[in-house]
Amino acid sequence: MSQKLSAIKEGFKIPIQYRHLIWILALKELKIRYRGSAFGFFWSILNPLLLLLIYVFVFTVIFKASAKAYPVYLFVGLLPWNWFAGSINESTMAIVSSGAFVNKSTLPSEILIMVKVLSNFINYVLSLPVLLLFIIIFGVSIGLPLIVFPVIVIIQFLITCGIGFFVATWEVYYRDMQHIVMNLLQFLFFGMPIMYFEQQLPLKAQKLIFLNPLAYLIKSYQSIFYYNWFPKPFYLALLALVAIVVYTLGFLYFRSHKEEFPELV
Amino acid sequence: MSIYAIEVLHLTKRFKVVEYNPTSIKTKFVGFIKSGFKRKKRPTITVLDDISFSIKKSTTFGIMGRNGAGKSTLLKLICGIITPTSGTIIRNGKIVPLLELGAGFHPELTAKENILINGLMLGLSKKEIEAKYDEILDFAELSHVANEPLRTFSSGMYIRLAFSVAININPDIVILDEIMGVGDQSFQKKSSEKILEFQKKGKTLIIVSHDPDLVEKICDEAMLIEKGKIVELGSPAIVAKAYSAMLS
Repeated sequence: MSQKLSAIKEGFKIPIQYRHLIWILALKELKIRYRGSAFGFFWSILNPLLLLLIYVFVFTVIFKASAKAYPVYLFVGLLPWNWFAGSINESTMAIVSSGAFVNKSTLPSEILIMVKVLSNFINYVLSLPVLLLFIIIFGVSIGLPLIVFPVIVIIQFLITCGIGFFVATWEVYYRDMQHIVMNLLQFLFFGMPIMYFEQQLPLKAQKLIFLNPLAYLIKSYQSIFYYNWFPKPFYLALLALVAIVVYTLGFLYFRSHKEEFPELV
Repeated sequence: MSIYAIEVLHLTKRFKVVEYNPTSIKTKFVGFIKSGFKRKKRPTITVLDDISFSIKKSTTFGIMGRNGAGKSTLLKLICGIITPTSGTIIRNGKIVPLLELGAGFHPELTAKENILINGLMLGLSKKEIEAKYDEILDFAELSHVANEPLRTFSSGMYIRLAFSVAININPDIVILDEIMGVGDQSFQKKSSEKILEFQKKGKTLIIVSHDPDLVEKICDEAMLIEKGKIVELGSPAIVAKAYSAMLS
């Protein structure tokens, strides 16, 4: 039992102890992604913007969504979703494509998952100015609820890393994982009120989608950036608890398998 | 304090045999039914078989053996990258695994950026590396291209940079896996001077090499392994001779 406890402690110590390495590796990921391209980091802004354009066209022109400042609503949910989905997609491959890191070094390979989550987070942060611009253009009011933003971000960090630990481990044993993950993410995306408002769903479906903690997460972003509300403290606390549990379970699961990684990768 | 830097006691390592596409569900399912609903045990292969030896502090220890004898597995076990099937390894001191030169190097990043990442991966702090940039680049004779991306380097320059990072970090126990003899002659000379400097400073060195002359020249003790067992252990001259005899 005490052994488990110290393992859990280590799970929270690794990101602090190796923060320099994680930060530099995350920057490296981004640098590599954009090096040689003329727009560089600008793509971090351009990509979601172009995606948004398509969605806005489909929903306001074709489906005639009448909600106020719909593009802002969409953008608020889409950006953290991209952070989440990108991190999970990349985490799946984190261990199997790590090469020397797992095979030839004694660093904890948990770092690799954290790097993916962080590099996608940096991407997210880079696109925030565009979001602010949209908020101003559409005259959406924001204010004090923004102070909750760091809390929501930390929660998403923990949840994403936790899930990342699981998918990265499974991928080592079953290379099908990457395909499964990709499809599951699609389902998940449409199962959450990102493009639509949950009020548009039948009552039963509304209850169903909120069985998913991630739906609350997205909802929290919408409350501070779109509705200018504080997220309900009870739900936020519950979400934080879920985040810590998911992270811990993911970490322990990863840890119990990682001894085999150098032999299988 | 123990007089040994590394003690290896009855070390055995078995690997599960990885078949091609071992985990397709169909294969598993069919196999499961055919075997009368029993879970199949994966066959294993013994890479190291009950090995015991120890390395005294401040000595240089050579490991020789043919390809596939188990040398690299042994080094990985000593570094703690993989865990033994049975037996124990006692380590006294900080080990830096230099099993692969330039671990984490990326062609798109500059020499400096790569030094930073490589150094961090080898366990240095950011400050320590920043203090050593010049030393590392000087040693590699690459100061003039410090901010060029690695993909523009020749393979000689690449290996010199990697070796220079490796050699300029300061561990108690240095493990060098077949990385001696990189670069041109003048660089090789500089490298062996650096090794001598390590020896003078009282570091423990573990060297894997295929070069009998080198082992005889710089090692205090050596070991020859073959098919996961120790064939010869002791004086480098005898080990080098046994290795040459085994090859011919």
